[in-house]
Amino acid sequence: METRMLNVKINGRDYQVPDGTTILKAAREYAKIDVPTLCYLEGISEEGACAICVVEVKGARNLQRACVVKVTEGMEVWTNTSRVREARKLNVELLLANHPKDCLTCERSQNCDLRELASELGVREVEFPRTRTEWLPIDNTSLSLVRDPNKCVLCRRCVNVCAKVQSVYAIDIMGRGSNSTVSTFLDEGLGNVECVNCGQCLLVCPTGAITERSEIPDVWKALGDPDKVVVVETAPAVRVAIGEEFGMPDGTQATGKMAAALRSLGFDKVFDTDFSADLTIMEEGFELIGRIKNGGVLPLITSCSPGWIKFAETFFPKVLDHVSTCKSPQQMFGTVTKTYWAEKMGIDPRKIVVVSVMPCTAKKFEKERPEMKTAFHYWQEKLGLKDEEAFKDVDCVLTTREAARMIREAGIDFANLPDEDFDKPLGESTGAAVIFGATGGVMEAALRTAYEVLTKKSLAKLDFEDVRGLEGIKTADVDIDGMILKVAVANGLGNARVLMEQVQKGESPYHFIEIMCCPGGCLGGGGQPISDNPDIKKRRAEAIYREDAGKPIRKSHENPEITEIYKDFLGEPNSEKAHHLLHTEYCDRSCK
Amino acid sequence: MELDNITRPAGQAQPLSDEDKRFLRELVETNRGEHHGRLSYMDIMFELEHHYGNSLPGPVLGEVARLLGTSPAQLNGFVTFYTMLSTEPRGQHVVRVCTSGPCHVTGAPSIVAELKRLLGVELGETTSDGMFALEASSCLGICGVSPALMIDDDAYGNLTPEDLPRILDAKRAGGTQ
Repeated sequence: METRMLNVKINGRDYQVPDGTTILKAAREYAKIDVPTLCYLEGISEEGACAICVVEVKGARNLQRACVVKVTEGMEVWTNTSRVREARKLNVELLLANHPKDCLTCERSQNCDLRELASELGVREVEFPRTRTEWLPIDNTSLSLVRDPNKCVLCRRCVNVCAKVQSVYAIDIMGRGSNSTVSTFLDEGLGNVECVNCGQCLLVCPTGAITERSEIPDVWKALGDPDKVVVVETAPAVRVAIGEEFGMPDGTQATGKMAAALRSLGFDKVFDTDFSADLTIMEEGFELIGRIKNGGVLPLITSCSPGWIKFAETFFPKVLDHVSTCKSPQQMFGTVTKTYWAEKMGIDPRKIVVVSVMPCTAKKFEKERPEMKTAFHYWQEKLGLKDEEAFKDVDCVLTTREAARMIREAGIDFANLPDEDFDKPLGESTGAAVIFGATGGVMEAALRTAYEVLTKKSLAKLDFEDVRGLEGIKTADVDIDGMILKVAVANGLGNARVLMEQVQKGESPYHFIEIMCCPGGCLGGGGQPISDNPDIKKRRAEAIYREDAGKPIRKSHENPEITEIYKDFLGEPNSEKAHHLLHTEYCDRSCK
Repeated sequence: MELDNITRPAGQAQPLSDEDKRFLRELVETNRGEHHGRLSYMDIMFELEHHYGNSLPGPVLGEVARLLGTSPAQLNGFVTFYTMLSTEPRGQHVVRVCTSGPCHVTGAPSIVAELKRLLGVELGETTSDGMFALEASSCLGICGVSPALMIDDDAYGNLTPEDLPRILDAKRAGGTQ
């Protein structure tokens, strides 16, 4: 059916817009007038909560909220009258009344929507006194995220993204009116409830109310300690986003500059999580092959994304035996560095500090999981270590933003650095590892290896286009020499939930499922630079696939360093030693 | 940093007794049959307040959220939206004085002042003997007899400060009007 077109006058000019268009959309897309918004987030948060987007509509007594009011036939809209300007300004001033005015020292001072709005609307003073009598306590319970409710403007973007995109529902509006807050069940704090630490709330927060738990001080301390050997590993999705922090165009492949900058910061070795992504493919690929050949539990579900893991443990404990036992690449890297590399280099593992740079806030939680101390157990007997000397496989996790902050603090001119390579031997990787950063990437990488291992033939075409792209759920039938492998890929936990309900009911038709917690995969992770480009995920994904296409080796099993680590250290994929070091277990966190 | 919370599921700070669990299961089942979705929440909350002495203990809310299949945070948001519901312990009888416009202009301020004096508490507090909790309320819907108040489920209208001792005494003695 053809959509009816409506006539609308915006600021005296005539436009035709499809029936159902909001005033906001009509103004922005047709009249090219940017009606300011604060709480609005297309498709996710469309509640008209903040009243910044008000406009005048002829015949309407009150100002109308452009983000929720739809155009009607013959509507006359005015976006720039003195009444509109005064109302917007007043509404911002009211929001500022209770807002701490510590912009100079706020982490978000450079990219705060509220500060920007106040500036654009010409707010120069706030006439209103604070109405809250006390400062609200800061939520420090989470290992990944810190919430400062005093900076919250109650826009509900975080509540909506947690509920509608991730289907986690960890936070909601508590109380009502001007006394309401965003909080968790009984104010227990994000660390004590269902929160999966994905950080999508942080990405959509217009102010500094949600930030990551920063580990920058710990990393500076390690870098300044001459007794420590500090190594850094960088996740696939970081290299295609970190450039944004330094004013480089969206989708810049900054791999070489990132390696150079990290070396310049003082890391003793600059390694690559892509190496352990290849290792993950070997372990997970062989796990898949094993389960198919031996009639094991299927579908097999990927385990790289710690937000997804906590989601499964909390909401779908019955599917945990479907989840691959492989540790995530970050954790495999930590273990391998403190066992294989320490042994090879003759370095005391206690002296090694592993820092990972991740597009992710959930990784900060993952590294603290009590079972992630495999290297310690490996060495405990050999070195006669006591239990209290236990050390973690990964010591610190920096988000992409935190790494950029350190680089800026050190005065490194990132954008103009000459490219450098990663260090050997944990720095070699393949195109298969690079695409881990995009939704569908782990699936594609696993298929490249599984196909060749199972058929002993060389793949004619390495690109599995069906599993690429930003749609929430993608499926494909892959022909492996006559055997049809049914695969599915979901990104965003709301989409994961759909697939998991099938698995839980025993109705899943798939053999292999890839789940990434964040929309778009890791490239859209909660640790990534905050961007106002609606196409940012697409740009980053394009950069990832360019990086893959440009790699001389594009299949994990052909990575020479991978061949070497199996030959010298691990034996075969899924060997007893590999199982001991590179695999893990999960716990049931559901409320019974 | 040591983590005692790293493996603990949400909403299980204090476990409930089997008796509590049975009561909650039956309550939710009964109400679910009569209503759908959030409509049933309010009935359940009123029943819970009656059962648990005018308040909704956290572990009870957690269990009810689980039984309803909603998120604990959402149920908590629902409960805290309504000033008539409380997650904090309250007195045996809840006195709700209307402070909305019509009651305000017909004398609510003097009613509030007299109640504070008689009970010796501020708004939002409970008397030391645990008998009365004093609360300000939005419109009770009986503006025709303003100023008005409610004690538990009973409404009182056309009030003067002089009426209050008698009303409180009757409640204290267990009567209704």
